[in-house]
Amino acid sequence: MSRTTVIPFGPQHPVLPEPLHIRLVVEDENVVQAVPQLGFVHRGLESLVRTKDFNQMVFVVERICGICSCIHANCYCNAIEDMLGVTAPPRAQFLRVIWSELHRIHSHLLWLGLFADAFGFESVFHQFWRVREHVMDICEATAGNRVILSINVVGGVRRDLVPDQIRWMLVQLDETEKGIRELTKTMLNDYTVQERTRGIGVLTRDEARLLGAVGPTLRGSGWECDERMHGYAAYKDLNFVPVVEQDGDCYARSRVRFYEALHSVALVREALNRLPESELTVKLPGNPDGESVFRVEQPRGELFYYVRGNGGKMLERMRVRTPTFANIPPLLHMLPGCKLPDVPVIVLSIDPCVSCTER
Amino acid sequence: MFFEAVPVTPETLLGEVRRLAEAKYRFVTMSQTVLDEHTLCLYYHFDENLTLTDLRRACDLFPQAGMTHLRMEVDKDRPIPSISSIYFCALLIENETQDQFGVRFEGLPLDYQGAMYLEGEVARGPYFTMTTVRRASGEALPKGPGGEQQ
Amino acid sequence: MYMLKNVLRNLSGRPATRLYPLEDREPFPAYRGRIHNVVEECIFCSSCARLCPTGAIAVDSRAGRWEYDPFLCVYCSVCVEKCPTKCLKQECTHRTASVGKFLVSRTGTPRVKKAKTEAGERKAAAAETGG
Repeated sequence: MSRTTVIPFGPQHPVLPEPLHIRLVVEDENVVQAVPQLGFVHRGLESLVRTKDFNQMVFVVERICGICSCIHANCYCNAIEDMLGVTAPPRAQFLRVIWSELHRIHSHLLWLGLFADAFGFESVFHQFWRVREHVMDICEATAGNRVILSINVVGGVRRDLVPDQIRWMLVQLDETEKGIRELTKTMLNDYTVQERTRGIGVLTRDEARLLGAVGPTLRGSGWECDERMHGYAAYKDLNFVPVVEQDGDCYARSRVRFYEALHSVALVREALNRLPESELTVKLPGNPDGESVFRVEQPRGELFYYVRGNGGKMLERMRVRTPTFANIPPLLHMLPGCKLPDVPVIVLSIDPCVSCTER
Repeated sequence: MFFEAVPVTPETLLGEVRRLAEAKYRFVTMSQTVLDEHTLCLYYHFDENLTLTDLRRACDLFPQAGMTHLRMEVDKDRPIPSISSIYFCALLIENETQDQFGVRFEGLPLDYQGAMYLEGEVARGPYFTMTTVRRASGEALPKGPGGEQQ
Repeated sequence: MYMLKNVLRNLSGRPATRLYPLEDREPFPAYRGRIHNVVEECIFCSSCARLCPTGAIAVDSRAGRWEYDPFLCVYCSVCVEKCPTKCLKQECTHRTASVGKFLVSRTGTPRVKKAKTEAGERKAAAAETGG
């Protein structure tokens, strides 16, 4: 005899640091329906474009998401630069890639730690966060801040790397890679981890496309789809290969993120070694006018910006589609049919970032 | 990049979207811009290049290749056909548009009635001011801030 | 089992954390920390106030007052970079926690040009030809 109960999941939940509320309709231990409720951290950042200068907006878009701030600014600056018809100098393009990839590494390490915490593997959580500290140190020593780097401006970047810093960064990157590689077996081969993540929250190839999944959620389901393949910034010059897994379950998604973190270390190293010489910014010709869209790859997936200018200092409209916004429909599809203890694992497997979803 | 959008109308929208769905496009998102007091411009962005492996060599020729955009101008007072029956993932963004711009979508499988970001008891959006600021400063004051919600 | 090596090393090694208030890490020289204004060199051009994304700086060029709200500041250091006289300085240490909010206010001598306008334009013209 099964009984239907409604269990509220979030916005405050021990394993979920994000203010996302999901109403779970459960029959005994099985989830039959999931309805999300958003809006706990809606800040109305999109409408700020009307009150702030387009150069000042760079610092606002960085604050949409704390974890991948540099990539938000990168996307916004690229969209505005396209409208103005300018291109950032090559050195700025490479520096943007370096800081974006550093953000990807530390975001993935943070996620891997949280994911381990979600299925109760606390020591791995601490190990990952200890490794992450190397990357945070690199960010702080080069950009001046740990998380919100404020590096991008429309038309280039604001800080340069000197040879001494590059040498020090390469040493730190080696440490990071060593730390990640040490945890490979634990994270990917451990019996407990496999039991908790394999075959859970399966998203098939066709479902992933129809539900509009992006990023590691999409790549975990076998699609070779990464915005970095479009070669924005300096990715066209770097040796980049998307990481793809076929299974579409939580384990596949964590594998994608794990290997992406390692691949990002390699990308940063390559970009540092091939950093071209040029100035850092270009002069901007007037104010943005017209419409433009731009997509970049965030740690969580594809980030989409639509901006519309009217020739004035202020933009007329900006729309941000963050990857988690696109990953919520797949999540709602994955939840029904799973067991209640698996819910945190599945919710975390899309790497939710609710603050940037609601903007 | 500057993009070219295919113009559609509410009547032809569903047919066009179905055609794209059959061609295995991925729905990226929708953007909304207020054109004037009664007209809202909706862009539907689609992505096709799920299977192309490497576009980096061609990126100078085709920046942001593989995207298709539909442009639709709608009357704010008329219900807009929802594409959620074809792309389930359009549900969230259509609900968000309902919240922020006070329009109605027809045939949403999960309809928050303009209260996705807000509590049910809050009748008007406190800071969904993309349109309401304009109205408050414009001539259509009688409706009040957020008045176009219903 | 895969963690065994790690666990043993962690047991025998030093902790990865610091006893923070007692033991402080050497700050990175490029860190964006506290901002202060060497008001003697300031020309009160208000470019910092105009550029600031949060509007944390207010400049009264007539009275020669420079006001800064450290709790609105996001430490993006745009003002420091764009300061024409480099009188805005940024330290590499962060601002420590505070119990209450306060405003940093600095008063200096207003720009000479302002004195000129007060004294009349003729005098300024004479000074220019004289210089």
